[in-house]
Amino acid sequence: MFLLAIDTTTPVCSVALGDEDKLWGEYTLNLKNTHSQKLMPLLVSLFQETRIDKDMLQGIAVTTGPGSFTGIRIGMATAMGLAQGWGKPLVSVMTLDALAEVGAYYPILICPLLDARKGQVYTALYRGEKGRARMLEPASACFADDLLVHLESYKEKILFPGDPLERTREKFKASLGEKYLEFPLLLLSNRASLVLKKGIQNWKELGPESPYALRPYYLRLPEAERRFKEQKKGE
Amino acid sequence: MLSKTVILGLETSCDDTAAAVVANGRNILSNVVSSQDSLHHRFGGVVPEVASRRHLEIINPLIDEAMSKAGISLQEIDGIAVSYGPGLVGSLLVGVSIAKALSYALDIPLIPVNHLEGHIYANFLTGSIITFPLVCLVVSGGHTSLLYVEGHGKIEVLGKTRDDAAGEVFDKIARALDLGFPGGPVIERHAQQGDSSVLSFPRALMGEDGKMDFSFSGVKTAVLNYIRMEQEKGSRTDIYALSAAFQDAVVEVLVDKSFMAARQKEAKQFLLAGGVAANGELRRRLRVKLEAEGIEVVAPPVELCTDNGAMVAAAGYYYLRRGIRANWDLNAVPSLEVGQ
Ligand SMILES: [Zn+2]
Repeated sequence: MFLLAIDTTTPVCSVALGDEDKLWGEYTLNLKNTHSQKLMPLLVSLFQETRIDKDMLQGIAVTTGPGSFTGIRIGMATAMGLAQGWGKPLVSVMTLDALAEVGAYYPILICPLLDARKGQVYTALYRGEKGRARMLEPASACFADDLLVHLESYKEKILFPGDPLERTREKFKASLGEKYLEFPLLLLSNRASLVLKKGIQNWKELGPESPYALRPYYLRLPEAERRFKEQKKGE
Repeated sequence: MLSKTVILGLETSCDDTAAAVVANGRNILSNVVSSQDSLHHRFGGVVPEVASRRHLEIINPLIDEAMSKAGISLQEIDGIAVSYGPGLVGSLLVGVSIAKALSYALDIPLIPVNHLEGHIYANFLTGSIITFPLVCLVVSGGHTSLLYVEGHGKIEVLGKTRDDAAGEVFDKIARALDLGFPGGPVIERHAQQGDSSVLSFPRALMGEDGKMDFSFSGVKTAVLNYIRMEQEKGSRTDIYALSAAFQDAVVEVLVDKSFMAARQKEAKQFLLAGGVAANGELRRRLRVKLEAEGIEVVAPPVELCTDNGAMVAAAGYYYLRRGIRANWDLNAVPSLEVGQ
């Protein structure tokens, strides 16, 4: 299953080409906020350098969130445009699912963390089971302190892939002590090869998706809508 | 054989999602617009995040609709033109991202169109013969600019608003009167039934040393204050007279400055563009005043005044003829200026 994978939902801008057996190429930048300028040049040069013909591609895997709202849209709009232009299907990958792939081969708990602003993180909880990250708790946006209290109930070691704020990571490390699984930080950011792996799995289990049916996974309402709803509740 | 250049134009700079197919910069093969008015109505104005979300949801089906209405396939397109500014950054990015991906996938030129210049090109779709040099008024919810156009790509800004855009003020007054969003059409309807001479609001920068800048914050504040005072007094505002007097103040400034600019530049033709160009009173009074001096006034039909993809495709055609193509690192430029 040969796929192009795209991720721009976090500070990372990453593209990859490959199948189950081989990563043919991958470009990853971790520079924040330049996705709209960087993504297409990376993608174009990935095709140039690997000399992979688009006819070899079966489809495009793209992260649909959670993450930066604008980042989600840049990656998705790009994937949807390519899919429409090439007439190829898409497969969506939830950002936290892709991050959980980092620990999928270890019998540990995996708790991806992404900065969700307003003092919150986007998170979910998984357990690594022989190459599968099995979801234990669904994605949510929550305060780091609440999540820490919740993680008390688990006794195993926990891996925290993702790009949370540095002080969030420090807090987790300090409060969890032994349970906090140390791992080189440079292996914890998202990258398109993780999206590729999860994308192949999603495709096989759920089938490909049409560019007209793909939906972003924001996990949060726009601020104005949230306030509007609260106001209505108050009336 | 006559060659035909077919451009797909994409427009997502504010709250309208639009796609159109135009041949040779003049013939509209299709022009589809999905307005988000109903989405933003309850907020009394455009909410950027809501707008961006909606663009992403509907842009692909909209492009398909434009293609099928035009009766051609994506493979028959010669170029993709997209508004990359000015506008709301999140909204612009949806169009820019999808345009880049499509043009790469189809291996055709990507043409970066200045949205304001796009409005001017709506006039090329009217069937009128456009002759340079000319003067153009672009007036909408985002802009109020008087432009001197010597030729394709040769545009000089004669004046622009120093504060609110004219359309923005219509929206704000409509919101204060609880008339809904967008404000332009609803104020115009109310104004038709009102007597504009009952009230008078200030006209800003009138004839001040030949300057052609606009300012609408004065009239906005005056009208809003009037509404508040009436409410405090407990008297019922005559929204018909108020709408008429307010519209009169705005239109008069627009017409006078337009006239001044056209005369100063000795233009033979005057183009009207932008969402507020749909205002019937503005069109009528501009025609009366300018045509009396032998200046021909061209204005697009209403559906080409408001944001649309056809104007972007038309502009894109002329850009392409001048050899303008975007690189893959094209970004949205929310405060893009004319001629930049
Ligand atoms: Zn506009």
